[in-house]
Amino acid sequence: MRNAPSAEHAGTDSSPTLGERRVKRVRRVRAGALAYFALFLVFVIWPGALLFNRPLPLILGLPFNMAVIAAWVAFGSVVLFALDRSERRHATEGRADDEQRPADEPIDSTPREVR
Amino acid sequence: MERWQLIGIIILLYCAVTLAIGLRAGRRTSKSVTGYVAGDRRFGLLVMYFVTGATVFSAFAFLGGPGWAYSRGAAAFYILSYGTLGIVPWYFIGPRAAGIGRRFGYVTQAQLLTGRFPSRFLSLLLAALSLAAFVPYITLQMRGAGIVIEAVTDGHVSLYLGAALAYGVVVCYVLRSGVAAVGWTNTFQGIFMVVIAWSLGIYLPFRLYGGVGEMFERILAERPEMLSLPGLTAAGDPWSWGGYSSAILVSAVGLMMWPHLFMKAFTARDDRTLRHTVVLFPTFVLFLVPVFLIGFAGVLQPESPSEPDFVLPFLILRSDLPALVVGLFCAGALSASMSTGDALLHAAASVTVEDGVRPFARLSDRTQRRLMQLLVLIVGAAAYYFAIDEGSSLVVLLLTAYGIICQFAPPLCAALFWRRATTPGVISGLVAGSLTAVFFFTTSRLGMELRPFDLHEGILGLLVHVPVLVGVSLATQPQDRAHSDAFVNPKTGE
Repeated sequence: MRNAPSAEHAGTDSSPTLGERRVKRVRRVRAGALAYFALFLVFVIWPGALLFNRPLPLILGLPFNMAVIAAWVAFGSVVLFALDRSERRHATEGRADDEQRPADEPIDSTPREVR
Repeated sequence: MERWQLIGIIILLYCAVTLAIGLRAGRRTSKSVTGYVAGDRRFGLLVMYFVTGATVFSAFAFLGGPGWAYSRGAAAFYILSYGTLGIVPWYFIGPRAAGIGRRFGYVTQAQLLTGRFPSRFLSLLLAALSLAAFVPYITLQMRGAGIVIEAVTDGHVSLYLGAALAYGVVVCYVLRSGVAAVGWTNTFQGIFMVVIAWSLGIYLPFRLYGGVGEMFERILAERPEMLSLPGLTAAGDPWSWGGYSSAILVSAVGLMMWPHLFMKAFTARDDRTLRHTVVLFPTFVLFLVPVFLIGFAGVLQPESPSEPDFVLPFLILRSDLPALVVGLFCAGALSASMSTGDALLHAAASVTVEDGVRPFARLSDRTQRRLMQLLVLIVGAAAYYFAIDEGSSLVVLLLTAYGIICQFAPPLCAALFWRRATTPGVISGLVAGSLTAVFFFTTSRLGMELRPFDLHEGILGLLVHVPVLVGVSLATQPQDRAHSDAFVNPKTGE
């Protein structure tokens, strides 16, 4: 995030500016989403899968291990939705700021840390 | 009227509706190559959602999914696990690839890669590897369609005729309307297969066991090994954790690397559409839950189908369902087969022309389009030939397709995220990774088990691929900064 914290930089005091708080919030949501999918991966392959590898109790009639995988998948959509909302808000607010202060460097909403 | 005739009429009706949708779809797209290959970059969320879902889930999911649950039990859960994991990176990669595609006019994955790493050899290599993976894949879809039609018409319509009918329709609409037809027919077929899968997945356990929970309680009492991960192998022995886990990994890495799926990034109207497609994709993946229920419903049945993959038509035909329901089921299975087959056929033709021919010859827009249409016919005919050839060993080729396709992931990540990557690095990595995957696959087929921990050959290929890519890149001349910035940092690299 080379240029991310720079937009609201004009402030002279040391308290975080609106832009910095926004960038932090977006980073937190991104990190949370990546952590979710990393855990998803860990828990559906060996050795994480050993933790829930039992058929009982049945959940909605499904074996426990199958229900857990289905739950990871279903909740994945919710996590992606939250990530998308946060990214979109970030981009919209960033654009609004740019319109107010055309001289500012634009906030780059493109994520960089994903490999 | 006999029962099979009524079912036949339903299948014909389904094919007619699909054909009509496919032919109408192309009316609004331009006659350019971008129109034929990328739908003028105009696909909205509805079409993108179904085109991604229905293309990912093929006849393999609709027929093979129940087959896996039926014969290998919990091993099938790997198919449920990898879909979401495979598409998440796409949230970031898809819009970036699409943006670069819009800027430079790319319509295929290889164009993006050779844009960053200029090399005609790389372009040809990617086209050849893609085609080698596509043909057996299309063949399997055709066979799937033929098998289902033959089964539900009690053999009155042969596999050959069934496959010819279904894929005759596919070839017609792909020829005429290109990717626009793929998009709109997949929307129709996607809705169809999801509705049919959920209806049958709930209905069959209730009909045969009195409920989903009751079914699993009985399976647990009589065949408990079926419900414990990592399930069984095709031979019925316990599967290894290494095999199960690496199947998830390799499928997740390879999922969006399939050129026919990757290319859809260039069809989306905008980045928002692409991101929303990813957000909604897990809801499509959940359609595998009823698909597995269908397979588990067959586990305790006294009779068994000739092959595990036939468990779905087998159960349908033994459940005394009305002809209308059997006909609709058949249409659902055809949807699964055709929605993947059309995307593959279209991509095979597009990739061959754009990446295999165009770097070597100057072609007008019109000639390119004509050549693609000719190739749709040629590839379709070749796949049909293999589909009706009983002794064909193409399935073997398909088994390792994922091992090869997932080798496209490191070059793509390098192209979009690593400034220091170089053309020699990417080519050596790709060659080394693919050869490693093929080596371990071949030795294991010949009975020499050299793979450590039963790991998938694709993972072993990646373990060789990545260090070679990095090592050779660092040892060779870095690319011009402005050139690599256009891909790695597209916002500022303009």
